[in-house]
Amino acid sequence: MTKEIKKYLFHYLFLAIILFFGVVIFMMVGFDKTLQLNVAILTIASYFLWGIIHHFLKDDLHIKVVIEYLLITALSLILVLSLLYRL
Amino acid sequence: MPNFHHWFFPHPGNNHKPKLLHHSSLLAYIALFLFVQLVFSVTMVAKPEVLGLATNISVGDLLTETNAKRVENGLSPLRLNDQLSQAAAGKASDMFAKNYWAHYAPDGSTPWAFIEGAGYRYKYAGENLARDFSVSPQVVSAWMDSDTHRKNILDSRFQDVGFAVVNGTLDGSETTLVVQMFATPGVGQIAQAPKEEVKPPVITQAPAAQFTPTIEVTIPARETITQAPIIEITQAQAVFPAVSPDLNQARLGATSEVIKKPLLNVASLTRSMSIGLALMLIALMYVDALHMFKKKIYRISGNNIAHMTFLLAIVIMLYLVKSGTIV
Repeated sequence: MTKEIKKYLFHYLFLAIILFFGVVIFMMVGFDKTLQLNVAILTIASYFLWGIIHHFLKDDLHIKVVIEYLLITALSLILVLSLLYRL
Repeated sequence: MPNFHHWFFPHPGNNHKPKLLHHSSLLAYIALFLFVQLVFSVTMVAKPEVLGLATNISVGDLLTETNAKRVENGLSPLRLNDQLSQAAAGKASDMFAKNYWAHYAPDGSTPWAFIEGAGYRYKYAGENLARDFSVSPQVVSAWMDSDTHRKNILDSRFQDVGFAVVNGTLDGSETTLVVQMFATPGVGQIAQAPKEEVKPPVITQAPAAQFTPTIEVTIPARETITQAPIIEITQAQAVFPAVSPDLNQARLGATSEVIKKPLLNVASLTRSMSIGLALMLIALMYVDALHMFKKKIYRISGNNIAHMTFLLAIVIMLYLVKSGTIV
């Protein structure tokens, strides 16, 4: 696992930056649900794009991989949306 | 069950991927989660005493919390004012009636019209709004976290405060609105006489002539005007004696608190389910990733390390979502 991370260190650093800023901005706009929703959508969409680009550069981009990222991001979006809607 | 571990651990029998991480399973989680949310929504309408949003907000607690913040900052506590509470109740009713959530109504009505309508002549006035919070301390805490609302709470010029906590329907969903109105009495403001009877706040529109000839309104160029506006009226102050909190509490009536205690809190349930599902996926992906790297298996699949990091960020976001909104 460490070998994999070292090999694609730049990719993972970029992902860490996206997620870090996503979470920090989400926290900063704490009591504005619309802004929180926008930040969540942007972070989730960025992750989807990151996944596609990452696998494209790794040369193992396949429709199955795209579907997997689509399902993971869709599920995450539904989880966040549901809670924002309930609160 | 012979194939039990196929659900959780990679194996040649499950194409080296736990069944619970297969595309069909991910799709099933989405469908199941949406179905559960639909059941929640239906149950909330049909059986609100079983499933709903737990709420416990009262004017007494809001006043205590607000004054605690002022005292902490070296300011004098605000006096609960019956007319300002009437104004706040009027504003809440107006928002429900016209279906808006803002300081200014779609027809251009200002918050100050409600204060004047309740018969309060002000020198300074301000307004904070909140909706959908669970408990009173959360409301005041949210206001204190916002610069503009915090300025209203900690404004040394304000002497009186009024609150309304009202439940109703806004944008088609059940909503608990909290309206907080601050003011300092201006010229002509008559001190309130304590009343013994309990009565709900009622807005009575004062004749326009009562105010127009004597007041000059100036809107100071300060940032509070955009979020929680303050209007300054250049008039001398009148003496305005305090009314005992107990008596004020007794006069608040129907808009003094909203308490809902359903058997199950839908927000807590949704949060627990969401975080639980995300953590379960992280655990499954961790086992899957360890197995893949240990056995040096190559397969066409997403990146588990990335998925786990992403889902961890989602868990943090789910944890950070707070109840309520302020404006």
